[in-house]
Amino acid sequence: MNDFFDNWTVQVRKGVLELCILNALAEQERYGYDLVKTLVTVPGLGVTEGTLYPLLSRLRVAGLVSARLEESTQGPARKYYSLTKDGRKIMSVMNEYLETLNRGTRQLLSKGERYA
Amino acid sequence: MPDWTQPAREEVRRYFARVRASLAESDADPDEVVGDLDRHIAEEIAAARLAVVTEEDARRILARIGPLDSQLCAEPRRPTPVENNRRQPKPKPWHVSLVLFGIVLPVITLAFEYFTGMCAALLFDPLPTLWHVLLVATVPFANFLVWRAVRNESTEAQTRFGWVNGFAFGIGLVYVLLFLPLTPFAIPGLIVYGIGLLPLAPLLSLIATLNLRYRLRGARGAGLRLPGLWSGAGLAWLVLLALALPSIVGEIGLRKASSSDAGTRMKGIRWLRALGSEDVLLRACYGRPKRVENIYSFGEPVTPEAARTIYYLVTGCAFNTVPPPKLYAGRGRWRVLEEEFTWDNDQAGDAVAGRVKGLSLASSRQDASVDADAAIGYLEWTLEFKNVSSLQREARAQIALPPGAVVSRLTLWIDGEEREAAFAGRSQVRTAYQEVVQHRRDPVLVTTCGPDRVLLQCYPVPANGGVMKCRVGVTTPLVLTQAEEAFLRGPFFLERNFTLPEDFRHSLWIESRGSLQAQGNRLSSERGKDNRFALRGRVADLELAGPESVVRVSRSGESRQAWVNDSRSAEPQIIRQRIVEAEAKLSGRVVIVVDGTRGMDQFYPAIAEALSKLPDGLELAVLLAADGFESICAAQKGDATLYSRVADRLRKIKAKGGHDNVPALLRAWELAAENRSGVLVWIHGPQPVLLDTAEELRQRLERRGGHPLLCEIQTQAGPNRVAEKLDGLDSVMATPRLGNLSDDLARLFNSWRGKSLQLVRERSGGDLPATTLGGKQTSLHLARLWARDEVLRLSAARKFNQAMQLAERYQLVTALSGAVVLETKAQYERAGLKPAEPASVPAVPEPQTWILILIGLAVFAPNLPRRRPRAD
Repeated sequence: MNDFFDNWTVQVRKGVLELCILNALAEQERYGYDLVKTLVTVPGLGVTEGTLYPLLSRLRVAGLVSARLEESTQGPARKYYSLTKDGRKIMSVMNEYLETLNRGTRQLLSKGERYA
Repeated sequence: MPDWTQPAREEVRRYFARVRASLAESDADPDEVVGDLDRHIAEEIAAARLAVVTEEDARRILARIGPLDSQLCAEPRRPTPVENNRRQPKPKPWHVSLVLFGIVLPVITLAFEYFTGMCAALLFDPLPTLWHVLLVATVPFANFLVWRAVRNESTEAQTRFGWVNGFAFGIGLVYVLLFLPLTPFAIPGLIVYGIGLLPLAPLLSLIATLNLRYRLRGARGAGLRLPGLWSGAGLAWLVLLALALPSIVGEIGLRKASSSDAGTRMKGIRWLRALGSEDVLLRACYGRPKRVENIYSFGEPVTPEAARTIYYLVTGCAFNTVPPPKLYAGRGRWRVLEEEFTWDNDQAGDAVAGRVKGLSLASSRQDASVDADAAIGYLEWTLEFKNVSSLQREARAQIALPPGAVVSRLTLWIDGEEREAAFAGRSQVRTAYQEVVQHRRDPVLVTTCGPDRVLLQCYPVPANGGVMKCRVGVTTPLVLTQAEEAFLRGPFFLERNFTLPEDFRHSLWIESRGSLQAQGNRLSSERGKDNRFALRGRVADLELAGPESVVRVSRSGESRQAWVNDSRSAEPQIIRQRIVEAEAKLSGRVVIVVDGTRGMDQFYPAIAEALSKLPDGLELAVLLAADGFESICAAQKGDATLYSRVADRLRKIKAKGGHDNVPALLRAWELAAENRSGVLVWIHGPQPVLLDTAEELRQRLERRGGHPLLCEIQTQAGPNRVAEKLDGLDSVMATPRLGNLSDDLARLFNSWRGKSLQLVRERSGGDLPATTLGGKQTSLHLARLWARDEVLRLSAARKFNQAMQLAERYQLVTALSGAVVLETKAQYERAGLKPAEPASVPAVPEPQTWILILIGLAVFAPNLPRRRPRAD
């Protein structure tokens, strides 16, 4: 039972993690440390800081995110991430898709809760 | 910056190594991730305000960062090959059709067109260069790559495949538009004959390309755009445009250059000189009217005649001096189409025109005999033509004769037998030739085509490796430079419609009783029959026209007279030749016209050097014939300073394109005619195209009666259309080329001062006793040379009938007469011609009179030509 649930949560988290990163960058560009610290606090996401960097790298290789280095007076050089044009488009499509999925899921959830 | 302990460093290094290992199968960049983590650690240290980082600190920070969650980071697991094979679905129908129409059909179509040239032969050339072949080949290749990615459901490098597909789309779209007019015909062709698939190949493969793109996009995921369609297509169009640029520039230039407006025409010529492609121009020279020769042609094509003129104006050389363009790889069954393309439109005409495919010179020998004391030579040039094409061909060549020489024999081999020519009026022999050519029989024709030049025509050189052999006999005076020294130079090709194999050599054999010396190292000494001196050797075609083939003949300075009993004359007469020393008249004004055609640059230093040999006190004017004419030096008294200044100016001229020299000659004639002893010197390269009429120039030279004299000197072998129009005029003199240009010009300039040797030929009654005739008795060639002079004199006096009869009687090819060999007696009778008796023709060496009588007696009956059995 627990194994099944663990597997399922991994699949769900995996599906939404990249979307979370894209949405976190939607408003403005953010530097890596700050972005990671924000995402690890998202309830239920259950992600370690170390896990986020490979995901950011993959998104950058796919052309959805761009990165630039900037010298900082307060510490080491900071790497700023921002959404690319393609990244913004795919984020929008993914959000729309998730919204549709959520609506459908909620309808079923309400039935399920009634008989739980 | 905090200090790190060694164990702390080791701890972090081990962590990074684990990260790298766990990312080995991931799409993430391990270096980038390690760099990011490094920065993250530095931020943590800075936030904790650590001065020294110990192993414990490192462990604490790394624990906070946590391990990489491989379940979240890793890509979905790919199936193993075994699983893959197990799950491999059967090929779907769309897979088969995409492979068929997107890959197989384009490859077959491309290969078919490349190897057969069918479309190029019938309509237009879709693959004008190898680059086009490669570009078209990218379509099936790109389709294959994308098809494979789609089949494997690969999500890797999709952006790259998007571009590749876009590139194929760009190329495909252009070819679909090109073949669009054929589509309505291709569909019924497909139904009826099954061959319509080839013209439809671009359309079908374009559909396949777009279908593959749709499927590639589907594999990428819903909502995700596949980049590269228009960017790839744009790149393809840019490449096509780059390949097309020379053709487009050439087409624009051609149309401008063939405009009826002189200004536009000149702009077009300059445009082509600066930017045009010679290949495009050459294609237009061989083009078929109303047929598009390549995919970038537009509008009405420029006619081949106009294109040939433009080609000369742009390049400075005739279109037929370079190999014909390789239009397409016509092979196999389509070879006939290729030959139709190179059909010889100038057959039996009076122009040499373009090189004919498959026709070449198989062998060439020149046998000469020199009578040094009489300063006369006789030379026979035997030529054998070979034709490897599948059509009968006519071999045509313009031949330069030695100065003052005349063609006195013409022989054709028919079925291994020698047949001699009939000599008659020019139009009569040409009509007879054309009549026989129409019936595809064996004639050979020689007519003059300018001062010291003749046109040789042989037909038919049989197809499929057949050969045709003929011989031209030339009687020539030697060029006397001193009483003890004379020069013999043989005939050579000025223009030809057949090719010469790369290693082709002419075989030369020259004999004399006096000693002979070769100018170059190509000829070596040999001992001839009867202890005669001889020179023999093999020379290349260019060398035949150069100083390498000029032979220096030693002679006795005492031999000043020669005579012959003229057996050709109706009345008994003796022809005498005297060598006289004439006091040269200093020319009052010399007007030099220098050709500005490309290729003349190399001769400007030699001309400049020769200018220093001009005598002081002479009035000099120099014109450059370039797009009209340009004055290099206005008429003025010359001295060393002026000559040096003009020489400097000449050396700096950069010759471009080809130019009509006639406007400069007309202006030069006016300048020379202002002075009572003016001379016009025309230094020029080949003039392969007559750009405008030379009639006005001829009129002036003809009507003024020998003054001013036009001395022309040609720098390189090649045709001279202007000189052709000045045939038969005694005021036009070709300067003999014996060595380099500077020396030959200096010899000409020197002839205007001091004394010069001249050969004077005259006749007297046949009743003079031999003892009263000074000098040596020589051969009948002396009588032939006298007759040649006489024909010129009678022509100048407009006594054309008398001149023509004289030429016929002495069997000479002159401006009024020609020589033709026909195949049968009936053909001769129909044309009203009589072939020369074998006993009456010259030979090497010339036989004595008594031998001729013996030969005449030995001939049982007139050697009437027998009809040659023919398969057709």
